[in-house]
Amino acid sequence: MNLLLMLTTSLIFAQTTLFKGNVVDEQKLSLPGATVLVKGKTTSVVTDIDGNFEIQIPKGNEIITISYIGFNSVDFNTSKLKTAVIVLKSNSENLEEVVITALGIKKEKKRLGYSVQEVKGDLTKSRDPNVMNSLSGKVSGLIVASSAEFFTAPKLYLRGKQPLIVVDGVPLGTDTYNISPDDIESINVLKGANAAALYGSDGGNGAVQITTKRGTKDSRGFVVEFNQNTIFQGGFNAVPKTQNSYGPGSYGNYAFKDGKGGGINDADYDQWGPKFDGQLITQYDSPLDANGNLIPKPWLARGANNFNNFMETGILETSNLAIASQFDKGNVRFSMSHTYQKGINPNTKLNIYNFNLSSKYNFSEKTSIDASANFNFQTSPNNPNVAYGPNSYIYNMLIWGGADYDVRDLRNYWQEGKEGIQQKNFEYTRYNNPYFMAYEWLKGVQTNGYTGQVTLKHEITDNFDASVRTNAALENEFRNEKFPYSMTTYGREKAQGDYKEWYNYKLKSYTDFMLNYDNTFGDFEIRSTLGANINIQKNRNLYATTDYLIVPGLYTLSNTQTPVQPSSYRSHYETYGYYASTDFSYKSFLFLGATGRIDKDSRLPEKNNSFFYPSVSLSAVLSEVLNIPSVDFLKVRGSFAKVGSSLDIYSNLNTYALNSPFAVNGATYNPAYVNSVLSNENLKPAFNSSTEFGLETQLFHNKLGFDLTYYENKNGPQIFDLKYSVASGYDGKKQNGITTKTKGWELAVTATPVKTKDFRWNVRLNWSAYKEYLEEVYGDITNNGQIKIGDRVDAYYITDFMRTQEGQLIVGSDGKPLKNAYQTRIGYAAPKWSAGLANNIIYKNFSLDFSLDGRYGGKIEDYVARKMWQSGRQVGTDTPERANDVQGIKSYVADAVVVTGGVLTTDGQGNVLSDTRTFAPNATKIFYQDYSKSYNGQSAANIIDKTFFKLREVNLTYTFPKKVLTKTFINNASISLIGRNLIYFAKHKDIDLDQFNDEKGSPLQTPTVKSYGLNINLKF
Amino acid sequence: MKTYNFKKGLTLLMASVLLFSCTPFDSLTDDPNKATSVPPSMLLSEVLNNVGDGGPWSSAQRDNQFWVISFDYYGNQDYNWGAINSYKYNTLANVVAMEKEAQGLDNQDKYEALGKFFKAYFYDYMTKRVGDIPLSESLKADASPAITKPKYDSQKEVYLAILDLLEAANDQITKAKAKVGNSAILGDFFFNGDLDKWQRTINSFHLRVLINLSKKNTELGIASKFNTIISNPAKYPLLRGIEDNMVRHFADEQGNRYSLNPSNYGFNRNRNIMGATYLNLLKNNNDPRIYIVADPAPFYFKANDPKNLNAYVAANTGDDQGQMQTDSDAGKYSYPNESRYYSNFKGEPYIQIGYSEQEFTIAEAINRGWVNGGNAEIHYLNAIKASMAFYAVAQDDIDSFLLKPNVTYKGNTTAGLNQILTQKYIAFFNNSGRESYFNYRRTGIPAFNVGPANNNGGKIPNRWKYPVSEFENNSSHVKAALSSQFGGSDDINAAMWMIK
Repeated sequence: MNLLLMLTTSLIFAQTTLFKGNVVDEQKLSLPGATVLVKGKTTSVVTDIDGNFEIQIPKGNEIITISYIGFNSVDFNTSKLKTAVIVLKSNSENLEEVVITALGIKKEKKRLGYSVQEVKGDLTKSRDPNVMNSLSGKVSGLIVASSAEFFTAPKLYLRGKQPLIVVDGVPLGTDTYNISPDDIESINVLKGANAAALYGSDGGNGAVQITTKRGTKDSRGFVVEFNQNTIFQGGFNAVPKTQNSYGPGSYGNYAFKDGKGGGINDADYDQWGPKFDGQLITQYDSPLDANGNLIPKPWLARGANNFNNFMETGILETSNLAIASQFDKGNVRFSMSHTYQKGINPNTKLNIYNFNLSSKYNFSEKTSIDASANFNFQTSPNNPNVAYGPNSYIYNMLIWGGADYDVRDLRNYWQEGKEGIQQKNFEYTRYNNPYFMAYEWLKGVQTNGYTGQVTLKHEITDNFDASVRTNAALENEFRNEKFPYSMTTYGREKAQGDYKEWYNYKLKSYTDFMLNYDNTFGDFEIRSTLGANINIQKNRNLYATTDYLIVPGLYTLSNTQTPVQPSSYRSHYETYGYYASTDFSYKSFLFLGATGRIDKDSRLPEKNNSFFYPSVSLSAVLSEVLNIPSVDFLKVRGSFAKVGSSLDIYSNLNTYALNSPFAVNGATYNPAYVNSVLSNENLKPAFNSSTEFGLETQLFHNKLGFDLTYYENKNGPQIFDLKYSVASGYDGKKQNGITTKTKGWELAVTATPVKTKDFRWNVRLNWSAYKEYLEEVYGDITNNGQIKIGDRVDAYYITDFMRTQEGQLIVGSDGKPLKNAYQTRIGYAAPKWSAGLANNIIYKNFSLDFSLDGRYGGKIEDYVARKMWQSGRQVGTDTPERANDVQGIKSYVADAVVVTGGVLTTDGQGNVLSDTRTFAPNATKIFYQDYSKSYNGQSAANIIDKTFFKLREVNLTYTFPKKVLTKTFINNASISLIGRNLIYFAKHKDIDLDQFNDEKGSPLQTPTVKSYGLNINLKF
Repeated sequence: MKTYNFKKGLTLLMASVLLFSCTPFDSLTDDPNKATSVPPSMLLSEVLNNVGDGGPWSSAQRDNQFWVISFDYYGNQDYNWGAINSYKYNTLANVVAMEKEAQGLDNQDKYEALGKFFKAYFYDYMTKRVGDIPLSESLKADASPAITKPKYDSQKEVYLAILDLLEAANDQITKAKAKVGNSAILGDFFFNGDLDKWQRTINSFHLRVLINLSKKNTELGIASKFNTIISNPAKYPLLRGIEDNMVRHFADEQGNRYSLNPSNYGFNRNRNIMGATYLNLLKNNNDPRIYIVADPAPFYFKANDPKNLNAYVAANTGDDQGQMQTDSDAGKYSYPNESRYYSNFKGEPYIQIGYSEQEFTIAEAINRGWVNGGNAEIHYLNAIKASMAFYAVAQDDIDSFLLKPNVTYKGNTTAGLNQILTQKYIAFFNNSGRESYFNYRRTGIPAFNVGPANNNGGKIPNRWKYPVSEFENNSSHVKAALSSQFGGSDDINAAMWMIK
């Protein structure tokens, strides 16, 4: 209203003169986005992309103030001038980027003695339903292992461990689908214990800190923002490749009769059947003759494209509307987001509604209250289960299912006259009709999350302020599963349906009281915080299932053939923390920080449930005292931190667990068993300590920057199950022990190779590497399972094929490969390094962002390939020998040797005691099918490299020039073409390696796809 | 005014914090989901679930050569054995806990008697599979001082302890039976707390242990121990018939369905083939049980001559699986009888310890001259009849079978012993875990088949390896056990003490 009034007055009275200016830096490069303010008035404008601005100068107020982040503000007298070029000088002091540190405390980055990295780039454009996926490659040391599955959050690994996720200074109480990127002001990653020690136990592995938007910086005092994304998802990045020359069966034999074992290999079959040659074979859809017998029909690869035909194009639509205002007494912001996703699996969708309200009110100059509330509703009526089994499309269509049927013929999935009772399918024992699964086997989930937070702050004196902040988060999740008649999966072969329900309730409450002190004594400055924290967590879970249904299609727990078996779980713990933190600084050169925290945790044994842990850090800005040519900024830092942590709740108690009740001949029995791990009343908290050194520098007028870190994390002594001989009656006892050491390097490089008036190119590179070693176990024990002290903890052991000393494969008298009776190491699971490279190119009103990231090295078993070699569907199984198999001719001779005499004696762990074996070349002809299963179908033949890279994000944005918009009500507008995961680089493209970090096995995976679409951003 | 606002706000905030907090810590430490004490019956149910070694149509029954699998994806019979599938010490810890929870209850003796039996049962289970095992120092992780790496006792010491436990179990159960009116044993799905049947089972098991030590007769005085039991039925009551069998009954219940049933017919039908070692014995003697347990091979079956034994074709355990599957697809093999094994979820009861086995054991002991004045033939015939009764064979068929020259008992000679052991093997079909294998290992009867599919150098192994975890957590003791028994090698073909 004020603004409108002001505009009106200026129009009517025109007591002003127009001044046009251009704002540049010392290199004469334009500075877009600089603020120009008429001194003493509220009138202000912002420079455009070329650094130009126009402003009405009222009479008597001819001085304007130009300010820009990183530059000294300038007061400029416009009297007698109509135009001018105004030069701003960069202020090296303005490298003092302010970052949010633990507990939401703001500090200048240069003061920090530990590693903190801010996420750069726009998170709202080429987006994913889960904002965490947008961090991929953007932070050195942070690995985002994005899931291939629908509505599944990525796994985060910060220096190899799971970090805490923090929103506005408080650990996230719900889940990451609750965070809308439109509400995010900034994301900072506190790398490791050194930075996150004040968060207590949960912060021991570092934290990803999200700060949400408050009010607006818009000079008008209000803004309405609208952001809309439409993204299509399709085109496989990684999908298993199949052969389509042979159909179901075994050794070339197949004939359908009833799909239940009545024909030849017509039930629970492999894909080692007859060649598709158009010969006549009875099939699932064979017509019947007069006697009711199936009439054979031509055997053809009708379904070579079944999987492509079945899968659909996904859609991701997100819209956000935010209204924000800033006024002299505070600010308010309301934001509403809606995410709609249609998955690539048929009949899947996801809706997320997110409401955010935040407001700050200043009671006075000294007292303020800041409150926010978040409501989030997530609903997805069907979440396919991709795990290996007849529940999975991959299992049904790409591994064990063949090309002998066309999936499109199965779209009407009920058998005529048996609607609701019997699916129509190509087999009736193990496999399911994919469409039947998609539309009748429904696994729904609904989650409601509520978070509320209030912060009250009061400045007691100029030096003291106090604040109290409380946050409560509540999450209610309801899941159910409708399992229809005639569907089968592992353990449910009776195929008479089921119904299951889960209720999960989670409450987290987190409260801090803080007293801050800040004072300067000459060249010294001191900033201290004293605080206390109460953390409460409660969980309640309920689960119940039917044991087959009586009435088909009636999905209620009472409709069960034998009594329902429910189960429940409850847990509740609290921690109280007391902490202090102090930062000393000398001039703007030397900074010393220290923190200490005492926690009391209800999960630990009473004797040892209070524990203390400290951190200390030191940094020096050498560029303040040394004048090195071309060096704008140089800082060295070092820090040490220790963090104590608790144990899994209720894991240190001697109790009896109750097994599920079972029935024998109508009577029910309730078994109970002894917890196989003994408790330890002297158990101490686990500790984790971290030492790091870093160097940060800015060179050549800030055109090149490095941030290099070396760290060593000592994880332990942890709390672990000290293994006893099982003959002792117990598997072990809870103990403090097992210490591992992670050593790692992190490097972040920023560069501006080109910077001219119209063209700017920024590059950011993040690289990191770590290795984790076993350092200590317990007492004189020198190994943790197969891992010995000094070895890497991710050493990967497998049962390898038996080979001669020269490495030749040994086969048995049956011509099939033999396996060792012991395991050997074939490498390491974790990647050697990971990296991300982001480019930002601005040309006039166009801006192009593209980023690549990925990981190098590490081993994993390619499980889907292994299974497809077993099933006969793997594309590589289409060999010449296979053509002989189906004629009943054994023709495959493995390139191997046989043992002709002597023996190999080893101890239980594979150490050779004696080897007197003699060998002769193998001459045994076998079916190729048998070789494929016994060699290619084994783990040892499917260990692959984890190396992959992805063209992760591409955004091409056009920002509409101001002058185009002046006559509209729109203040700012941009449109972007966006792409995500556009190219996947990897040797084996049957799985997407993105979701794995230190895993040794790959579960089945929905094929990953590319995303591409359009983003519109409007500000009013 | 401003201060007032602040104070008011602070109070409000504090109040909201207090709403969620301040539960005394000691009320948070206990797990609300688990028990610190349970009735012994719950532990008994858990222990009973761990009795035995696989069920019908399990891999144990393939090791026994009763059936073979043609589908390599679901298994094989290559005898390339690894480590014992499970050490039973966790179950023994539950036995100990059951005894502990029964302390002071009026049915303490009952549970303790069963406890002693289970200890004997599970130590026997382990030692006969691997050789020496920890016993004297076992189950002491929570004792004071705790023993976390128990030493291995020699198999001889283990068996002496087992025999003592079985004596003590019999004594204590006699005592428990005398206490009339005490609360019953609950959680028992074998005998529903019937102590008399338990006592008979314990003594029958005692005979099993003794006969398995037949090679140690002189060293341990097995014959006299056997005689003591046989000659004193009042003190050592034995099983009286198949109604006393320790059996598991199956039904259409979660987790209790017979392993072959209508819902897995499609998975197993043309892959689960009758084993030649077993089926050929039936075929050679024109045994009426063949028509009850097996179906004729469709390829050879003639409707006008349904009982022609030429259509009963089994696969050899040592045969190559690929060829076997092709032949099976061509209908050339006999499968398990569809109406008996695939038509419902009940199948047949599974015998853990049975009357038939006991009678064969007694017959063998008499044949060996261990028992004063016994008649081996009576027990031999009792045993065969008990097996026939299990299959409900018609009396006429039984009578004519018993008159066959190969079946009529040839006297207390090696030939007679062969008959006893052969018929014992047949009666074991699909029952009693790996007892058939252990009898074969001890006596070599019947001859087990080996062939190209054997991956153990053409041998049936003599033992399983020690668990990998012992090499990690009790290494010096397990290595000492290996060197004292087998020259340090964990060799599956090495002979342990009891079969030397």
